Amino acid sequence: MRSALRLRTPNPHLGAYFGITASAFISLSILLALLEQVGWRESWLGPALILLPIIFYLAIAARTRTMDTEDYFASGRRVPSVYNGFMMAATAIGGIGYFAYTGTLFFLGVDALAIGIGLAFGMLLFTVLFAPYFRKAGAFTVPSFLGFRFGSKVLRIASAAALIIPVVLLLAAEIKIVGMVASMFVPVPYSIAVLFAAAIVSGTVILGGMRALTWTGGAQFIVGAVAFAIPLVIVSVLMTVIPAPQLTFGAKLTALETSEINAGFKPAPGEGLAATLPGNTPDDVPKPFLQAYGAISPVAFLMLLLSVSMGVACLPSLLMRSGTTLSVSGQRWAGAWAVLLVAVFAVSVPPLVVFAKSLMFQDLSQLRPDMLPAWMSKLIEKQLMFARDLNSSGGLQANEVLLSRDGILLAFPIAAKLPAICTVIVAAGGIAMALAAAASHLYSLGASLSEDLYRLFDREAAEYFKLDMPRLPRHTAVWAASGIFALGTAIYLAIGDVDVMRAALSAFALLAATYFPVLLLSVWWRRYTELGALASLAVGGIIMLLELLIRGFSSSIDLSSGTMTVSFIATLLAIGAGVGVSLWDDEPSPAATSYFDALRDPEGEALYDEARHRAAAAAAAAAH
Amino acid sequence: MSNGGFSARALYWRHSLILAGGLLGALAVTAMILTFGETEFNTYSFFGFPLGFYALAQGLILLIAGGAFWYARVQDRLDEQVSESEEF
Repeated sequence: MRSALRLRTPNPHLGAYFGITASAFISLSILLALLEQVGWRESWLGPALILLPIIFYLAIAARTRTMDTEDYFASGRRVPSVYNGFMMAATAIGGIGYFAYTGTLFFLGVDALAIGIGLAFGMLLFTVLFAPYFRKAGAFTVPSFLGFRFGSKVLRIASAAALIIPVVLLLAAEIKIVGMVASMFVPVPYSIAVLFAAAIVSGTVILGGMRALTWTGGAQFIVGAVAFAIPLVIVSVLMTVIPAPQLTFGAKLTALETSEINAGFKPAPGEGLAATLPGNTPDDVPKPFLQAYGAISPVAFLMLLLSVSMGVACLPSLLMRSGTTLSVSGQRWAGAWAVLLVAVFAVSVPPLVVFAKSLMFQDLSQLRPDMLPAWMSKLIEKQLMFARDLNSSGGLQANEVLLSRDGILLAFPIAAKLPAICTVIVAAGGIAMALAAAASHLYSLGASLSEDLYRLFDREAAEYFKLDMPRLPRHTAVWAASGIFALGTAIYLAIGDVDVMRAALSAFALLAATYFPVLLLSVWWRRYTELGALASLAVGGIIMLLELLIRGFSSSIDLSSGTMTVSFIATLLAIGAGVGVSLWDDEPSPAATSYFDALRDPEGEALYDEARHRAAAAAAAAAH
Repeated sequence: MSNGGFSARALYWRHSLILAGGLLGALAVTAMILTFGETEFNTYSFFGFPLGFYALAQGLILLIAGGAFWYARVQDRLDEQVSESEEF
């Protein structure tokens, strides 16, 4: 059966819709900027620019609500490549990239570039190694892909279990960012903001599953990208006359170095520096921007880069999006677009950080702690910065200014003395990105875990091709699972705390050690067996869990020599274990090898759809 | 079709493997050279940037993006070739 199983026509008005979204956001920003000039108070701008877009996202989610299985789980397999690229880029960057990566680059300078390069390289690994083959398989979740590939229920359950910790860490980090930023600009306490964020995200997932994710995520990515660009371009024009900061910030580097020397920055002593990754609490900036390998060694830089990229490449939230494009080739192009969008983001962060650092430190040595300039008092009032005169010299020095890592991006427009609306714009954009990523992670948790939950309720439909028959239970299982996880995460965040960057790096390290070896070998090696896959999962998972437990989970991650290197070694060992056990094991079954070969055929329908179609035809024939 | 089709398929698969491995391997080696050579390269300047810094902050990332589009194009062409050769 090679004919199309269903007519798949993308909506021809998508370009217009997203154009309208972008111009609506820009118009709203301009309108509020005007209102600020005529005397609107800052406390009104925040709620307006943050809540109106959120209502808009919820409206999109309500508009794209669906009960159709293919729409709910695969967005109808008709998303044009570029728009799928939007959502994938939003998932990969998220609020973590938006706020935490910017802040980490501010603190660690060039040493943190490994994370940005890792994000882009990870998207490329995903595009080349996994995405086209996932599109061909057409499975709705990563565990169910592994289940079909080896015909194994054990592996499906084991891989679903392996997914919980890393994806929950990412989800918690994203929801925390929404709550943190929203509570700064909207008059609600942090714990309520977190609960609201969880409710918005689970509302999106429950209403329309993958379909709602695709279209709210597209709009959120556009808002996020526009909001990131506005202050950056304005400051670039002010500082270098040319509105292309990526090309011109080189001219600012010498000035930055001078002001860093004036502010009293000393080169970091290099390897062996204890606290390498800036933490959750406000801290002083440890090293000059351009000093290479002051915080981590070249080897650790490379390990961080590879670990992040392998983690991103097998991020379940990205892999599950692979089933949504029109064709295998379309998925490759979607991946290429996502790589480009992530790359543009990664290339835009360094100029922003250089501008922010020059603005904050250029006059620092002349400032007197009792007579701070207006922008600095504003930052202190917003608790993004703390200044104290430690040595009572009457002046300020680099180590006497404490900054909050995740607040650097919000501090940037204030330090540039831009109108208050610019800070609110950045906040709205960051919330949009974080909501997109959080919804993606929540959906991948819900959908992956509901697969087995669902089977408990529906034993008759145990054979996979009959999944489509009783429609309601499968959705309700996703609803239940995502609701539970959203609520649990929100409650945890309301009482506990999570360090965003550390949580993300722990998640990437875990995924790189467990999912990456298993997926790499099952997509690229015909001889891989079920036992081999289980061995890879076990070896990678146990090593990384031990490492993280010893270090106290997400609370401390050692970049300079530790966690990322362990993750890389665990990945290699897991690949080795998979190869060794597979070779020792019997030859894989004919069903497994023919599934492997079918994955390589770039033509035809998704394997999952074909199987479902055949099952439906057989059922119809049996009924007659 | 049986014999010719089989070898066309095997060739297609080998080409895809070389393409994917070559692209990712080349970029990984580039990343490695740039990482270990950063301080060395920083003695040269490029449009006002220290070269080593520029290569990591922008050069490598843009190379990755270009590589993604190049890969999508070349793999599309391989797909077309194999489907043409199997039509007979």
